[in-house]
Amino acid sequence: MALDLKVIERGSSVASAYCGRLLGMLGADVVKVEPPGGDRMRDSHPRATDVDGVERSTLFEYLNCFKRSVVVDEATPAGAEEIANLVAGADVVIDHVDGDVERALADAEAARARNPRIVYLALSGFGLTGPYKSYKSNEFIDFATGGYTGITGSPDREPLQGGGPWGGYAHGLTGAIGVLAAVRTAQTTGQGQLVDVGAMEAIATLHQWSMTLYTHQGVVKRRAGNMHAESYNPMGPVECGDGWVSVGVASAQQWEGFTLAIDRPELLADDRFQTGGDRVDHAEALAEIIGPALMALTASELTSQLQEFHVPASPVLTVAEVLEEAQLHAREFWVRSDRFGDTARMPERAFRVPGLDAPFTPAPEAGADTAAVLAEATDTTNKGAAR
Amino acid sequence: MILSGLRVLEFTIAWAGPLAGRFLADLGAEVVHLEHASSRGVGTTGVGGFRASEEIGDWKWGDLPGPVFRSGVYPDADPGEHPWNRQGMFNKMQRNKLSLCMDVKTPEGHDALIELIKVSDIVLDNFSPRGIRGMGLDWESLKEINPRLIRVSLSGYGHTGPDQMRVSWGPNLESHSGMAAMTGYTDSDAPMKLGPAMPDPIGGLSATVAMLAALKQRDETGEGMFIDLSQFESFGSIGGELYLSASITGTAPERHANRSPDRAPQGLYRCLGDDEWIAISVEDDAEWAALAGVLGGAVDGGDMYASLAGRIEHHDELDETITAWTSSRTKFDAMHELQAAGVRAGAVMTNKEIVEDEHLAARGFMVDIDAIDVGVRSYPGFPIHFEDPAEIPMVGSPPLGHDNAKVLSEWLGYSPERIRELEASGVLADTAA
Repeated sequence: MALDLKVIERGSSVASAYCGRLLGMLGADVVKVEPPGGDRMRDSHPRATDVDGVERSTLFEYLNCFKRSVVVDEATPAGAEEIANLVAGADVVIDHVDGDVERALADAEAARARNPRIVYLALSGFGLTGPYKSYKSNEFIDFATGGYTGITGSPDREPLQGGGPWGGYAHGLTGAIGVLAAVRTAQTTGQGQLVDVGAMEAIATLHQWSMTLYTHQGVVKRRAGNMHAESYNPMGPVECGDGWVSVGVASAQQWEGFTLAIDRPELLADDRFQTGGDRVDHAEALAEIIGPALMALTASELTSQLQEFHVPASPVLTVAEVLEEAQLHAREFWVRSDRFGDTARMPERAFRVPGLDAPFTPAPEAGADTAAVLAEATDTTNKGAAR
Repeated sequence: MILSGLRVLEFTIAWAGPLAGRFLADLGAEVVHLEHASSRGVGTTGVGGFRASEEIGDWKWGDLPGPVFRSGVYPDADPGEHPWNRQGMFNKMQRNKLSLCMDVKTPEGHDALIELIKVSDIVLDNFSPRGIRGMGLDWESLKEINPRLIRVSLSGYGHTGPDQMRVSWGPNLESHSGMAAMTGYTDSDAPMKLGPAMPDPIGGLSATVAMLAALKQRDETGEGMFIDLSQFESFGSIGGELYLSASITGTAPERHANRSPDRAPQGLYRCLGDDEWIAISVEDDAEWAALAGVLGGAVDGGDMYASLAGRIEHHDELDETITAWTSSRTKFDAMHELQAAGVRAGAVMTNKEIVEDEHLAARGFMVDIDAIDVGVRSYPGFPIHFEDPAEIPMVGSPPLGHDNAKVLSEWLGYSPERIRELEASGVLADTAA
């Protein structure tokens, strides 16, 4: 079994590509449409050298597994007709709209005219309506407008984006929810629709209580480095004897466990440290007391002692170190990437839905499936005409 | 509504699980949040705990409340008579859901739980496997009583493997996955956590994708399934290129802080005011020409900046030139002026600015929701815009146990007498313990 959907993916963004990867991973037939010369993301960083000595984008490689690729020049009438035929036989179009809202609306309308069942997902920075609809953005801009950048980083320095295009991934996940929901509707009504998902809203939706702090108490949230800005401490990376450990103390039981794990039970009776809010307000005093205790332990000791007391704690690893984690090997998280050699591997799938695990396929070369896909589309169109 | 008629039983805490349940509720599913009288964290023991004896003291709008009341994020910092119904963060996740407050450790409560599972389409949790097995809710048992059930468990590390019993919050997974070490300034090796953690919402979104796909599959085959979703893995999956690069080269890709090897100039630039910034990102030479046009005569050196390589080499000087321009403007004026010229630019927005943003208001993103014991407050709405906005309900968060009778009568056909007995014997509750 597989997700029985034909998906056409257009445009070039982390969001559109991850949305396509997710659907492909679940068994949908995802066709990526690339311009002559290939998607420009094929040159994006990070890059690495493949077994043939060619430098390639690992971002493109990862995001485009489970897909086929066609190269079509949409600027020519013949190319535009080929795309229209593909869309006519598809269930879903994933489009990335880079400020060109009128173009997207026209494409969606043309697709509906040919195929009333089509679900047309428009992923954009700001959405298809509203005063900013024509503004252009990318993952860096969206992280800022979605409210994550301003509250990430040290309070006395400039804010920071995340260490990867994670807002783009979140946007793609949100788009996939929109697609699957609209497909469900299309199955019962026979009518597809235009689904509008803007990155600013998708990222604003990720926050835990940032907006609630303002609407309930008027508090403007500020960045606090590796501290929680308001309510918990410790909650994030702390330094220990040979590196860092990420500690998460939220409940009273976890605070008690923390004090026992670092052998400072007297802290439990200290009025300055009763609740998470107390520990934020007296953070410097707390750091002075627990600092030496933490520095006396290795990351491995601290992590295991905290976990023994059921206190959330984990090592602070590099992505290279994560590749060795026994847990991920035991759960077969990694898949080999033969194109990049013996050691190369990447996450195969974010989750497994029994019965919907498509076999893994690496990212296709640009246009690898052009002939096959266009021939299938012609067949479908002819059958449609004959019906 | 898209998921009308779908029955979801949710037992979750904190963030990832409640968010996944909320997406289903927003899409119109009937989501019953099964709660315990203590599960809203009242008392000093819970996540949202406070000392009931404390006074609010002096507080005015805009101030962070005193430490004792802070984590509840109560409206106007006031816990009120029913504080368990007034926690802002909790309520944000509970809209459109029903609350069933039932002690499933009693024989009657446990019987009702099993009966509810029999008539559920989806059972969702985000506890560790230890907690789930303790409740007797492992998949091997449940599939016997409801073969059509989609069982989703959204644990930190998954239900198998050597680390399955580890406990975690989002910031732990951010560090464990290598992402905190990728985030940070380039003149330091220190890891940096994200403002609000991201593993939780990524887990919640991933679980929602999984559930919708599973539903399509289940409706076609009639067979249920167990989805063992690890938040460690769903979060790691948004960093695939980082692991792939590291596995090839043996080391993590280098940090870039706010810059990019593909785009220059790119950065955050100071604007008028205190801690006000704008994000600017130039993707190609044409966009550079547009930015240079806005900066006007301030850009000397012409050809030096004509190529990406040149702009990367002289990034520091460019940053000074851009800052000279941005620092005399508000971030919003700068954003609108740059965008009008075709330059990718966005204000670094605060929570306040998102709530009050004219663009989001025009799109109806922030929504006013009335909830019992809370009143009307504004919350972020649904990030997916379908053609018919009526697809998305917006019913306020239910008070604890608000739907005890409704759920037991409508889902299980319990008589009013039987429900009253369960109330009298304390199996059902609507007051926090």
